[in-house]
Amino acid sequence: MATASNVAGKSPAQAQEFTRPVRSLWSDAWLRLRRNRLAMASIVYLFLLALVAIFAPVIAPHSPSRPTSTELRERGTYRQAAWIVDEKNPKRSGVWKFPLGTDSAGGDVLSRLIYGTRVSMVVGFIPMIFTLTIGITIGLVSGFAGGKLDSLLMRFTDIVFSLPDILFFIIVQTAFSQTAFGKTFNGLLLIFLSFSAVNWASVARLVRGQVLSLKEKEFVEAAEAIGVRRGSILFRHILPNTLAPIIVAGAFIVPSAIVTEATLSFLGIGIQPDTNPNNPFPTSWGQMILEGKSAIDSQPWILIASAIAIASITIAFVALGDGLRDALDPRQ
Amino acid sequence: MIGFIIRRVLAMIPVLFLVALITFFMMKQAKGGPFDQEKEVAPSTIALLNRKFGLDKPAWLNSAEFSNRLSTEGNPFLALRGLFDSQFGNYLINAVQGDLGPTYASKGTETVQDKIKETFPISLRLGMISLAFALLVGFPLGILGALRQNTIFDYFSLIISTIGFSVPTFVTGLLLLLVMSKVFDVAPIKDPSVWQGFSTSYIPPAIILGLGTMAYITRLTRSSVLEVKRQDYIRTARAKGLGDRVVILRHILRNSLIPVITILGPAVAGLVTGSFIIESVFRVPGIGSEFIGAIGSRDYSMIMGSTLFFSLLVALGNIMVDLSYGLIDPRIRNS
Repeated sequence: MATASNVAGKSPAQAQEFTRPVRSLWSDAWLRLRRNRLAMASIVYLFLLALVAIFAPVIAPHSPSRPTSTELRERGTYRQAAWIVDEKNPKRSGVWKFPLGTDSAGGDVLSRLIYGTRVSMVVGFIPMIFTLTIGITIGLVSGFAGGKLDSLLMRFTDIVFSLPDILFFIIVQTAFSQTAFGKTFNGLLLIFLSFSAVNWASVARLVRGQVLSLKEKEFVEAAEAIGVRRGSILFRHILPNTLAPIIVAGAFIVPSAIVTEATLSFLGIGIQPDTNPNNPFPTSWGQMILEGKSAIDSQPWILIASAIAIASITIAFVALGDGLRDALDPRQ
Repeated sequence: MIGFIIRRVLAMIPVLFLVALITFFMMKQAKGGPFDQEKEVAPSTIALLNRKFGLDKPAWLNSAEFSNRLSTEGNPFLALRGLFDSQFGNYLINAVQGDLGPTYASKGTETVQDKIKETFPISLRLGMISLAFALLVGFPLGILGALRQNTIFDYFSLIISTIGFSVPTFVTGLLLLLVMSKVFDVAPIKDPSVWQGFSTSYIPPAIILGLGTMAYITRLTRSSVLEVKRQDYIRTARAKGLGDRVVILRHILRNSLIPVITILGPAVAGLVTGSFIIESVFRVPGIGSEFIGAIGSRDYSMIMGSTLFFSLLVALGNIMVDLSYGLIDPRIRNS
C-alpha cells in the first residue's frame, strides 16, 4: 500500500525509473566480470590466499623459523614429503606431521609456504599503490598543465621508462641491502621503493594520454563554460574517467611486483632470511626456490611447493587482470 | 628518416648517462671495497691497488686537480679535464672509448670488455634460438586461437600463453630441470665446451627463456587477428567470393602482423637481458652468468660495465621498435 502511494505520488518518468534499475559503467563491468569464470575463480583463490596470509600464525602447523635442538631431532633435515618413503634412510621418510617435509635447517616446508604468502601479498599490493600514486600524479599534472612543464616531465618519464628495470633493482639491492635502511621490514621497504621508482613511468604515460584526450571532450568544455574551477574539472570530471584503464594497469602491476621480489630473492639479494620467530615476514617463496634449487635431488618438494605457489598466484593475478580489461573495455 | 634515426640515437645519451650515474652512485654506497677478502690484506697493498685502479682520486669531481691545472696552464677550458680527473669522470671518458676498465676479480689482468667479448656470443646464440622458438610457436598459436575462437584450440593457446606470460622464467626453468633429472634422467651439463657454437644443449634454456616472449607474441597475435577479422574489408573480401585461404593469408594475416612485428625490438633486448637468470639456472657460461657472479663477488667494475652494456642493448632495441613502426606503417613514417 505504502509503495503504491509512493509511486503514485511521483511523476510517470520517475515511476518508470523505479521499475528499471540504473546500470552504471561499474555495475555493467561487474556483470561482465562475473560471467568470466577464470577471473572469478582467480578472485576466490586470491581471497583464500589473503586469508592464509592474515591468519598464517593460526593456520601454520609449526613455527616457520629455525627449530630448537629438541624439535630438530624430531623434524630432521631434508625430511621427504609425507607420502614419500625413503628406504635407504628411514629417518628421512615422510610423516604427516610435516606434510611437505623439512628443509636444510629443519624448518617445516608447509609452514614456511604459508608464511611466504604474506610476503607475496604485501609485495604485490603496496608497490602497486605507490606506483599508481606517483604515476597518476605525474600523468595528471603533465597532461593537464601542458606546455613546458609537460614536456619536461615527459622527457624525464621517457628516461625512467627506458631504464632496464631488473638491472636497476639488482644494483639497488647490491648497494643498499646491507644498510640499516635496506634491512627495514626484512628489506621489503627497499624493494617497494625501488620497484615504484621505475614502474610509475608507464602509468604516467597512460594517464597523460587519457587526460589529453579527455581534455578535448564536450563534457569538459561544458564544465568550463559553466565556470567550474580547474581543480574541480581535474578531480571531478577527468580523473574518474581515467579510472578504468588505471585499474587494469594496477591489476598487472601486482603480479609483476610479485615476480620481481621472487626473482630478487631467488638471486639471493631480495628479502633477507630472519631467525626472529616474531617477525611477520620470516620467509618468501623466492627464497624457498633458491634453497630448493640446491636441494633439488635430496628434497625436491621445497622447490616444487614454492614453484607451484608462485606460479599459481601470478597466473591468478594475470587472469584477473585480463578479466578486468575485458570487463572494463567493452570495445574489445 | 635519417634525421629521425639521428634524433633517436642522440636521445640514448641521457639514458645511458643516467644509467652510468645511478650505477656509479649505488656502487659507491655499497659497503666494502672491491679488494676486501676473507683474509686480511696489508693496508699498503690496498693503497697500491687503489692507486693502480685510480680509486685514490675523488669520486665525482676533482676540484684540487682543476685549480692545480688552472694555476699552471691558466686556460680554464684545458683545466676542465682536470676537474673530470675523478673516478666517475675517467670511467665515462674511458667507457665512451670502449674501455670499461679492468675487472677487480682478476686483479686487473682481465678487462671488462674482454669478458663481455668472451661471454656475449654465448648469450647471443641463446637469445637467437629462443627468439626463433618464440616466433615459430607464438605466431601459429595466436593465429590458430583467433581463427578458431572459443574452440579447444583457442583455450589451449590461451592456457599456454597465460602460463608463459605470468610464471617467472626461473620457476619454469627449475621445474624443467627437475623433470629432466628425475623423469628423463638427464645429467646436468658440466663440460663448458658444449656452449661454443650451436649445440643441442641450448634447446632447454632457450625454450624457457623464450616462453615469456612466445606467450606475449601469442596474446598479441590473437587479439590483433580478432580485431582485423571484424574489419569491413574482410567482409568485403568474403563478399566478393574470395576463398578462406586467400582471405586469411592476404588480408587477415598481413594486417594483423603489424603490431606484432613492432614488439620484436624490445623482445630481442628482453631476451638478452632476461637471460641472466636462465643462464644461472642452466649454468650457461654467458654474460648473464658473469653478471650474477659479479654481484656475488661484488666486482663493481664488472657490474657497472655489464649494466651499461645491457642498457645499450635495451636502448638499441627501443630504437629498432620506432624504426620498424616507420618502416611498416607509412602513416607514421610521413608524420
